[in-house]
Amino acid sequence: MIPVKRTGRSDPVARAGTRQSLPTACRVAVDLLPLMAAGAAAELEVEQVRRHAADCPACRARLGHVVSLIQAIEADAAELRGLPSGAISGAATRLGARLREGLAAQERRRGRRSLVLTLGPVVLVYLTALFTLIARFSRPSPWTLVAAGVYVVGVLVTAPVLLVSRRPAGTEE
Amino acid sequence: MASAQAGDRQALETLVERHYAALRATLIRYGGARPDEVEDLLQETFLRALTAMGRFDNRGHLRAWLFRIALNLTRDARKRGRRVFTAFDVAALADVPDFAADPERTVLGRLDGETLQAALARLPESHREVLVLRFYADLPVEEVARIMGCPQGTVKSRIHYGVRKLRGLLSVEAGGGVRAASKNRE
Repeated sequence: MIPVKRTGRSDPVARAGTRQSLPTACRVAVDLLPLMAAGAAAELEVEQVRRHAADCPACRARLGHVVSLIQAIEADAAELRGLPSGAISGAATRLGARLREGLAAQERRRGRRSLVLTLGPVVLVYLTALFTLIARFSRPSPWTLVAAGVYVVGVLVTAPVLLVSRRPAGTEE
Repeated sequence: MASAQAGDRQALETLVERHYAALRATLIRYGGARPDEVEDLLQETFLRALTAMGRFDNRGHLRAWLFRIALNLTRDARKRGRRVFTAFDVAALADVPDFAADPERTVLGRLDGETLQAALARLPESHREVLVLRFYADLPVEEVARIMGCPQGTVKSRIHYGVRKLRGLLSVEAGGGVRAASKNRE
């Protein structure tokens, strides 16, 4: 990809700015020509250019060039857009199927995520209670609580990872 | 759109069918995606639109919204250097028949898609966006302004400068400009 950047005066883009040397009427017309050809000029502006171009051969030529350029772009656009209806409906069927698959995969991912978010706190509470009881009724040892903490954190970290990565996204039936 | 979001087959196909051609043309000429690669980008565009439906509250501007998503995705993909974007070779413009011999008379009549693609790729992003949306998506200035999130006057100004620069790049007036552009790249 060519990086877009402004270059020096030798660049054709920079050279296009020679309008300063034109008479005022031509300068106005030059400014309006692209808009006019693109159908984005106001009626008054179109009329202004038309009147000026009638008396100015140079601006008539400029107008012709801009119109030709716009016509070339429009022809290219029409060619790209003008797909046979069969091709469009075929693409719609194909893309429609892929979209359904994508939406279903997203739905499944959402379901798994909400399951983890719902069960996670419940599991945490039960495990904490369980290990508190173990620590309370077994021989008191600080290592019991440490082991409990490690176990709880391990479950909470690995369970979501296992649930989410069990089936890679977009490969489901 | 709601039925499409729910995964209704008919609704999805209708949605795609309605916007497919214009979005495809826009993505090809805006981002340089090859026709065979553009479908992935289109799928991503529709999928993102469908999953973010909650944030879309104005049904009248659905098309503008889709185009905005498509342009953003294209730009993001380019930043990530994804393969869907081909490199443009401006030097190839010099191979257009009669380009140097009689530029004013015949060049514009002979412009083909590749030549336009190469010239469009040399435009600043904002100018390329408005030109592609105006001509390739065939959208009115008002809708282009909505997609770009700027006033209509700004869109007109960008069309103006975009066309002027495009014309400069294609050397309609000066002739030989493509050679100059090619030399600048060397």
